Amino acid sequence: MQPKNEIIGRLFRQQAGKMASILIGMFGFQHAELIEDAIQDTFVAALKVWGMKGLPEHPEAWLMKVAKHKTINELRKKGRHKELNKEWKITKEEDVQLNSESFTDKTLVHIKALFGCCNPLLSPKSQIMITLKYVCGFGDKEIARALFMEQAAVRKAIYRAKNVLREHQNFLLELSTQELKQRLPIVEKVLYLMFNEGYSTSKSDSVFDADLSFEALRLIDWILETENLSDASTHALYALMLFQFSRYEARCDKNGIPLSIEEQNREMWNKQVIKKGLFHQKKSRETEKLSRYHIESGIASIHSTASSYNDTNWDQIITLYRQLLTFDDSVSVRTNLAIALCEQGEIEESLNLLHLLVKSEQKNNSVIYASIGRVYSKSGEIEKAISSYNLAKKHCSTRYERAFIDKKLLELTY
Amino acid sequence: MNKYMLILFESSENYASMTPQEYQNEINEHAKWITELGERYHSGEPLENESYSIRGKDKIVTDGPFIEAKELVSGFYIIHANNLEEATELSKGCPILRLGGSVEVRPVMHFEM
Repeated sequence: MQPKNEIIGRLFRQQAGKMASILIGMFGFQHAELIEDAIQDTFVAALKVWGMKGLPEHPEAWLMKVAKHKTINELRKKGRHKELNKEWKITKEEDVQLNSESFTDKTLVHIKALFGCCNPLLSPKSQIMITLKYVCGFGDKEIARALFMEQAAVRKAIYRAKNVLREHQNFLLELSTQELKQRLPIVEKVLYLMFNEGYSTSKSDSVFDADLSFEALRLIDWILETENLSDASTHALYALMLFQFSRYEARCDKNGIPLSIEEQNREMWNKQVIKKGLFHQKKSRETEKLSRYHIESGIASIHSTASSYNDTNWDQIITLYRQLLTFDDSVSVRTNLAIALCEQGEIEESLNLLHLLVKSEQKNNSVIYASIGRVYSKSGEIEKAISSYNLAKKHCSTRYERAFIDKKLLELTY
Repeated sequence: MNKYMLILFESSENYASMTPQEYQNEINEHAKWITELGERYHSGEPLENESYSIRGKDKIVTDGPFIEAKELVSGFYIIHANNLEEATELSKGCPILRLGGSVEVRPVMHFEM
């Protein structure tokens, strides 16, 4: 016998998420720990059996079947057998889907688990953690790395979140599409944050970052493919993510130092992804009601379609940022508006805006100082630019950010 | 060529806190090793942890193997090799070693009857 080999990169992680969410969808969060153990056992079994005998015909179905079996066995051992029948309110159709060898990612149970994880009773960060764990199949270790947290803190937060959900998640499967839809804005927010966590952080270990963004894209893709669940804002959010994601390869240099949009090699932007983004942007316009994602995807699309940095339509970007302020009057939106104003030649207004931000208790924000440095260097006030970049350097937190600022300082003194 | 049994000893703790990705990597390591063995690979079976032991003429049944032994037999492989030295050399590729497990190489007794 010659065993078959090699399984595709993410299968296990995706499968872990799928199994967890389906089983939790079936049996409820009150059995989350038992389910986690069953999945762990399933992987150990897979490791031993597949390692020796090669892959089964349908690896995904094999894992799902074993995990389901182990869960039911454990519940039985614990005398929860009665609970099983009572609580197992999975519909016939869903059960058929689970048992078929070709069951897809988009089973409704899985979607319901995602919506169950995005519970407003939890903090946004806990929602992300619990989603990563039970929908995306991340281990505690991976969550800690992805969110810059200690593993112990992740474990504690997830434990607490689980306790909250335990009381409120018994009826996951009874959620109607209508009820699911009411939670859509929260789910979108979680995916938005998840994507940004993955996109904005730059570390040498970039696999994990890409993964977070990738997972967010994957999840939103499901929502769009589930009938009657998404709306125009979902398309707008998807478009926004795609525009950002299209620049993924270009956003850092070889050493992992971030490159501004101005410095990025536009040849490296993924045209296919941009095209897909434009498609969903168009879809998102089939509504009267604008979301912040509409505006943000609008801004991102202007960058994506400009032939060069100098050809960027700053006028339109400024208008959109001002509009975005009505949704989210935050430091980062104001900073971005200031940069756009600077590019448009409105140096004074740009500086006013930034200095105001520093005054309003943002004295330690390196991004604002770096932006001020940028505006000064644009207007030819080199001394002031250098001192602003030095302030930015004093307050920045990652070595990549520091390297970025050092590069700017070097350019100025050169 | 002769047959050799590789008896695998492992602690189940070796797998306790792996992430799904790490499990997957381990499987890939095993698959890679078996591919490398090629024609030398004969068969293999993993074993469950639960067991009974029966001892002596009194046939006393006890739960499990010796509890004090942290490392349990977790499975076996049968491979083909020319001699014990070569079989041992081939066994060095077994992925469980990296995780702290051990492999006992035993020639399968073979006589022309």
